[in-house]
Amino acid sequence: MDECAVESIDLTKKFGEFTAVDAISFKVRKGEIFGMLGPNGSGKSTTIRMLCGLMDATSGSAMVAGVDVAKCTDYVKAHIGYMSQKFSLYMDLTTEENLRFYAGVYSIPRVVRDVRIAEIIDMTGLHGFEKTLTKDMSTGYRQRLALGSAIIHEPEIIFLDEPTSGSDPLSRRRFWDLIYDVTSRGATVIVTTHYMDEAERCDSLILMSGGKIIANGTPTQLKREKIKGTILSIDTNRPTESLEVVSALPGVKDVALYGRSIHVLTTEPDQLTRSAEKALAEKGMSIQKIAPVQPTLEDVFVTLIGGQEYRRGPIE
Amino acid sequence: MSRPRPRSYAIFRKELIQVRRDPRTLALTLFMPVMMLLLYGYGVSTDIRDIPMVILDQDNSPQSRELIRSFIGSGFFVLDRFADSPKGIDTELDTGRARVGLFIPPRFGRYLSAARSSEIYVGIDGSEPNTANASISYVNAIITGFSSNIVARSLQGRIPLAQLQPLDVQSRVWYNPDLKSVNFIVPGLVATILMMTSALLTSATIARERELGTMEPLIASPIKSSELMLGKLGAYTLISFADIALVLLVGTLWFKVPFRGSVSFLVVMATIFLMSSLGLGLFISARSASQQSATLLAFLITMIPGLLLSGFIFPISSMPRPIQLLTFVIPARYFLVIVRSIFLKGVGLAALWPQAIPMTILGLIFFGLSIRSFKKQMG
Repeated sequence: MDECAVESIDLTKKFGEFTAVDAISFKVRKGEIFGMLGPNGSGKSTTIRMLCGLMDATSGSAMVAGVDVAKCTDYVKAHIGYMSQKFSLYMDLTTEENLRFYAGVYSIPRVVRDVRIAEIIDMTGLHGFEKTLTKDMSTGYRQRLALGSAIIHEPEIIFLDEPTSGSDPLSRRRFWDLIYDVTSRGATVIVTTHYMDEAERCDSLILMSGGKIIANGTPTQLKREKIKGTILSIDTNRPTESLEVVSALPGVKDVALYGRSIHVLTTEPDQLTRSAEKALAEKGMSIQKIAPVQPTLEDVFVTLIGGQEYRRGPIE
Repeated sequence: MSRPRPRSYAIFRKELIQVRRDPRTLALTLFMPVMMLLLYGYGVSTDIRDIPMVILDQDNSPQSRELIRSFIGSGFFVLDRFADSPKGIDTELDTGRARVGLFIPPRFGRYLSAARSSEIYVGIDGSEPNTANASISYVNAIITGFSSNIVARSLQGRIPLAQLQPLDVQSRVWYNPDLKSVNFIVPGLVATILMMTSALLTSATIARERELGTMEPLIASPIKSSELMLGKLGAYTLISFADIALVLLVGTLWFKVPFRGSVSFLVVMATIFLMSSLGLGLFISARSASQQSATLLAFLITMIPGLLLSGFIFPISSMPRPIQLLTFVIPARYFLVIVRSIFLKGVGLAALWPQAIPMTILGLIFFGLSIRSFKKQMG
């Protein structure tokens, strides 16, 4: 039982008639990186806000750091770190001033404070930026500083709500190194994302859509268990039109565009390969490549949520 | 050994750094008070002198000329022109070239010499009540003086001189002997400036944190609403004190306004007053959707009562009854009396408790409201 850092039991949030989070239940083990994946409006942020005590749940309950959030909100707040989706540092304060501010807000004693600030600057790699105003730093640096501010009080559990949105791949990689660093020190991290590569890095995942959990497990489990069939990857000279052609073929369970490739889910790969080649040739499109590929989390996502909703979503 | 500082200190310190780095706020805190002081100190003078006057003298006797001399010689009136008919008086008043018309009918002098009562007519332009009020009292004073002279002269010789003037009325204006309006306005400005800057400064602060998203991590932290509000109030109180010092210095050194009371008493009273206006600002901020609407609302709420209903410009005693009742809940009303009294009379709590007590009660109410108005919740 005490292996559990967070437990959500039928957690529900309604805004008027609209149900943002619909009775979701899950457990997060201590020390793991727990990912929440889903398109915008799937209820990830609302769930995190309820877990952090920023919002009251309409019904259901949540245990965080061993206590009931609704009953011991102040205790929970002192034992968690939270990095919000909206960029939330003080732009007109320097790195050091921001850290010092949060140290004060979390009542860190002065003797400990300076050591801790030095440690955070070390972890986040912000040496030389101590006296730089936050507004003069790049997005990637700001995001690391925001995480640094959120963990200044060495919280047991850290909630990160789309922490890397808008930053470049290299910055995202550095940010994830920081997440690994934090978990290696024993903290639990709960992170929402809609980047598939980030989802792959999580120890376990829940997939959310329309306020519900539609799948959960480790990335490997999800890929193995949720994909029933084979993924065919088709490269053609006119991907968008080819997609239309392929989706009309018999034996196609799902189809989606992946950059310039078309991914098709099917249970009869050989038969479909032949029919696709034929159909595309009839329409005058040339096939560059057609071959089965290993399913990715994105395939799982598409299969579970459905191509239509997936294409509308913000997933890159 | 090393107890952590209160959380509100972190807020306090952060607010001061932010104000220091924000040129707009800095200008609001430093230049606005000085600007207002200069504008009001030079621009607004409530001293009413040199009121233009039109005169129709149909008597043209030594007595009538003496009366005219006492009007013009008083310094309160200047001669616009002599009219040649009653219609001429109307024209001058209608056009506003003259504010007061004096009509001396024929036989004025003759009646006076015969010790009969005699009449003159004075018309006053009432379109500007302040000038009209002043004119009425000046006219009364001059005529009273004039008639007592006549009486005295006519009695001369019959009654010993020692008994001639049984009442020797000598009026003396206390506290502001020169009746300089700047002496009255500068202390009033201390109150007005303090109210406006403090409410304007605080009004944006909560709304800004919401808008920029910096409120969210604070809500997720263990900081209490009261600690957040106290930290902010503390910072803006300090800034407001800088404003008081500035206004005091400019007022006493530049405008030579006398300061007869105790500075520490003024500081105590100002702190109590600030609780209400900063509280009001925070209250507005906590309830406003955006920075802009918060600032606008604060401006409207402080400008109108601060300038119009506090007695700073219009005396409360001349307001209609319902408005007078309304002024009782305006903290500036009390603080204005307190500041003016400290400046000009040099009195302390012994004389000012009737203002200090309601002001304190209002301060606590507004302060309490502001702390309670902020809910540490999202959405």
